[in-house]
Amino acid sequence: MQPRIKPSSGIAYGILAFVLLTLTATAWGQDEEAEDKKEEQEKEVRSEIASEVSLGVYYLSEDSFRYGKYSGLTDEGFAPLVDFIWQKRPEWDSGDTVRWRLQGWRLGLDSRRLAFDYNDQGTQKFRFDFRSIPNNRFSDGMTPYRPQQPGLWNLAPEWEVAPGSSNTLGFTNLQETLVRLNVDTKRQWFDLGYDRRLGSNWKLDVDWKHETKEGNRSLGAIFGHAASNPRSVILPAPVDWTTDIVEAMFRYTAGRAQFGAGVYASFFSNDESILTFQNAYGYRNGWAPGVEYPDAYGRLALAPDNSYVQIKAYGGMNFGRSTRLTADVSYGKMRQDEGLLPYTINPDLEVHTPVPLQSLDAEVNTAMVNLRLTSQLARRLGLAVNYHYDDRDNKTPRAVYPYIGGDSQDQRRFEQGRINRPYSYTKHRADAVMTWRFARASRLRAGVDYSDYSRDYQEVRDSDELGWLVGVSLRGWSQGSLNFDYRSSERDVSEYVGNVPLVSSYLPGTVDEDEYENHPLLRKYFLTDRDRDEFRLRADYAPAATVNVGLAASYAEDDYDDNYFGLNSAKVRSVSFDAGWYPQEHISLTAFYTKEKYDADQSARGFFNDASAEDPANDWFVDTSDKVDTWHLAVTFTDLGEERGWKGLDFGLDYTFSDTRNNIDVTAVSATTGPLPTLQSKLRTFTLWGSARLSPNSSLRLAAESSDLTTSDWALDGVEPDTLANVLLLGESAANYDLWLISASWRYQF
Amino acid sequence: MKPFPDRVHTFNRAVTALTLLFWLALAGPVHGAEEVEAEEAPKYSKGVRQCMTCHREGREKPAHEIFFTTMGIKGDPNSPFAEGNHDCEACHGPSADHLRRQPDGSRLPPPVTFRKDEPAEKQNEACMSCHNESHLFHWPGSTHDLEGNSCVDCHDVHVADDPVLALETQPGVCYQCHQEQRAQFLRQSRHPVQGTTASLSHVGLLACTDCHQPHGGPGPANLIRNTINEQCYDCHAEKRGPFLWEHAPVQEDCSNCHVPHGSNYENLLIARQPYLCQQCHLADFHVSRVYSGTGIPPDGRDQRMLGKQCMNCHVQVHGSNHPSGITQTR
Repeated sequence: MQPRIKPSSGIAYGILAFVLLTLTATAWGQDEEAEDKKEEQEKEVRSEIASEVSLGVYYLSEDSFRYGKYSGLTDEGFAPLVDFIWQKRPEWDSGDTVRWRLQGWRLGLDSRRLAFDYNDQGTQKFRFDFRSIPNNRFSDGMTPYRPQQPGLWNLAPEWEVAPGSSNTLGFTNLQETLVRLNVDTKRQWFDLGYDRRLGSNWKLDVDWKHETKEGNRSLGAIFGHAASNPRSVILPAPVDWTTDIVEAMFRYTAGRAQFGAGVYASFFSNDESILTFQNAYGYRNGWAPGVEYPDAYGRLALAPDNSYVQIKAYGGMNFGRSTRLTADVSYGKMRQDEGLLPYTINPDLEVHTPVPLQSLDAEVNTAMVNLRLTSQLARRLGLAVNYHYDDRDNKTPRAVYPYIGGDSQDQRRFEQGRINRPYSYTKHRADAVMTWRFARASRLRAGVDYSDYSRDYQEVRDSDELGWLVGVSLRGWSQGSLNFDYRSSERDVSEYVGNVPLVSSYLPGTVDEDEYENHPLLRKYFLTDRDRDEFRLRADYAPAATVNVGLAASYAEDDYDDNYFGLNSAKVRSVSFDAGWYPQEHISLTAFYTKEKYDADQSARGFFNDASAEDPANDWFVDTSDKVDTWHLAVTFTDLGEERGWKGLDFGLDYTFSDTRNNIDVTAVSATTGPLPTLQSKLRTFTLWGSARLSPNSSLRLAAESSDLTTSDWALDGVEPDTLANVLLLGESAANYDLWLISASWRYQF
Repeated sequence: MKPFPDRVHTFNRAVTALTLLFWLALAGPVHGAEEVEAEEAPKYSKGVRQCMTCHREGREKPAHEIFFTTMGIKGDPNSPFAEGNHDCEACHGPSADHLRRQPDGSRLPPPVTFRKDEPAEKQNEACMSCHNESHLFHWPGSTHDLEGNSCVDCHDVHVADDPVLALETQPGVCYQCHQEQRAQFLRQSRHPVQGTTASLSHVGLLACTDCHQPHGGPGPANLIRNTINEQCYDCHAEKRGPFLWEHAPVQEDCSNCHVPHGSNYENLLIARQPYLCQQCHLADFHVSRVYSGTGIPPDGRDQRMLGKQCMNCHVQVHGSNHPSGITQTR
């Protein structure tokens, strides 16, 4: 809904003002006129209350949980349409400085929003923003589990497992116990802000955001651990999260200098941080006795409560008219001290070593520094130099955790325990860009950037990246502009030691120095040498006042050493055309087409011992190709027929089509592979709408939207809860719908 | 692969070069760098009433709606329309000459027109002579500044409700240059930012500025927060931890696995499981095994290919806080 400005107060007054202004316009361009005429013109610009309310209904032609993924409109039938704006604007010359606006969007749907802004200009501002953000995943999931109490899921009382069975084939009355479920969440976001000027130079900004997220999500709950014995069930895990964010900043602004200091604090709490579930499976070889259905339970630790408190400061100083130095720094602490669960919930399992800590007492210190110097070195020559420092110092205590595999086995020996790896990193980045202005408003850019990155507990200790860029912006012509940027960079890493994560997570001496977990020839894409080339182009051309066309293109290619396994290359290309045609004042036609292509190659070697790890016959390869075509067309007619005495008629149409195809081609030297179907997603939306003015203050709006989503996904299509032997799925299907949405609303402006 | 000492030399060279540039800039503009124009007494018109003669509603270049905006409030001493602030000419410059017709009937433009053929510096200087608020702190040297964008490329100060300031209309302004993102927000996995129309199919519940500060921010890509992860944690604080068992690429950079605007794959992943996981995990047995069409019906039923795939078991990919969660399963 677009806010509309109410015309001047009354048609008669508007006509009078228009006539008076028309009569005087020419004269005012050349001479000064009498004061009374000025008064009339002044009235023309007076601000006024411009509020409105829209009431109506939506009608959805069929149930579709996925259509309402973010809108919340999911059920066939009628739903209320309620939008409004209620506002007060001060008259511009009245001396009044207070304006406020209360606005509501989609108040009849789960995607409702309500916002209030109060602004006493030059003194204080207050704002309130409430947003409800649904996220509907699917509504056709099925499970035999029932919630017993918060955080505890039991199987249906009539659940049966065939004797001797240890997989889903033994679930003899699965179909009878399945109940349908929705998987969805809803965020509710309350944001309160207050800004206050304190004297001429000081200002205080305070903001508090309270966000809740409730619902559920599909989450795998595993039983078992060793080779071939894991069993899993997908559960609708509870989501009951609350996040509070408080920010307060004191700011000082004077002519040449600005500085400020404040605090950012974020607190996350999870009301259901433990998920306990009954094991659905019969006994499996490798499990300890007694951990099968019906007596055994498994347990997961869900997201722990945590906090992040950061103090921030910034300052800037101008030196002369053309040089500016700015800095902003922050220092923060992330903390997490949720009590640690025992290694297992299962009392039948042997536990010789208790959990080393009651709670983790995890702490990460973060520090960030930004320095920027900008200067106009000469009339046409500018320079910007940046330095960025980012440090994550993880102080979380390390300890040995002799773990228990999937609540199904006795505890591992102490020397087989694993040590946690609290990751830290330090990044430095510096760059300099020079700009040269030419031909009045055009610019050339050239720059260099260098970054240095060090980490711990990972395969690569240090990496650096050196890049350079050039760019040009051609502007200064009313008919067109062009922007082009090219950047090339090369990342070099220090020695890649593939078994660092493995060795660092065991007690010294308990694993051989040359033992490895991942294949020694693997290079993780974010930790290896990489050449990157990218460019971005944007051109606009308006050959006439009624026509504009645009072209945008981008290209990015990451090239890795293909002598190693992992991601070998990735390439993203995108091109967009857009156009606008405005043949008459009240007619517009806009369109765009975007084509994107993503290609990636990766290689790997399947292995199960040292010999097979060295055998190239086990190599396999994946070529991924994504293609996306997006079309959009919009035609709009506004204020039609006014010259014929109609009260005003607007109508238009929108057509959007997004077509995505993903092909994954897997090949192997010797292993048998089969083709994968294309993953597809087609979203087509066609909307016809019209609006007729019934009176100067009211109008009627009608809209009809046809929306059609077709997706195919080989991981979901035709897959039932018991399709897999070792995983009890929810059996949801890929999103598909084909429906109509009709809306009718009456709008009244006041 | 370069040995480590070479990297030290590269770093030293880069630091030296940047230090030189720093001092060069701090030394101030070179002699004569700033344009020195002859000082003349500015010739102002008689104020807004005179401007509104031509720039009123219904004319070719109407500007009357500025009086519905925060700029057009006489009672605010910081407004261009406050007493003594020269009204329209506070931004457009002294424009008395603009009122007089030239012999050919045309008019001279005001000193600052905010048209595309005018240097962005000149336009922005007019805006920033008043707008020195904290959200513009990072503007000089920011991406949009270096590209030569002017304030009016995005803002329309002559309309009652500047489209770039409203959640529903803001993306449309950003899409004028960011077409790639416009297409990405039409994919099936996306953040709920408004698509191309007001249709409920593409309903917008978030604005670009919920994550980005287009005037320049402390983080990459003009993010509001210092890092990509800090930005994501604003709404996804459950993934912040710190966890007992961390997943290194998660703590480094969410964009190692996710794209922020829209993806072909659920949960905004950059690639499809199990292949995304296998780009970094190539251990023995099931981790390094090749998975293909033989693992889906009717040819097969592999648990890494169906359902939640790798995440059928490895559910805590963002970190686990269970003492037995070393493999991100608990």
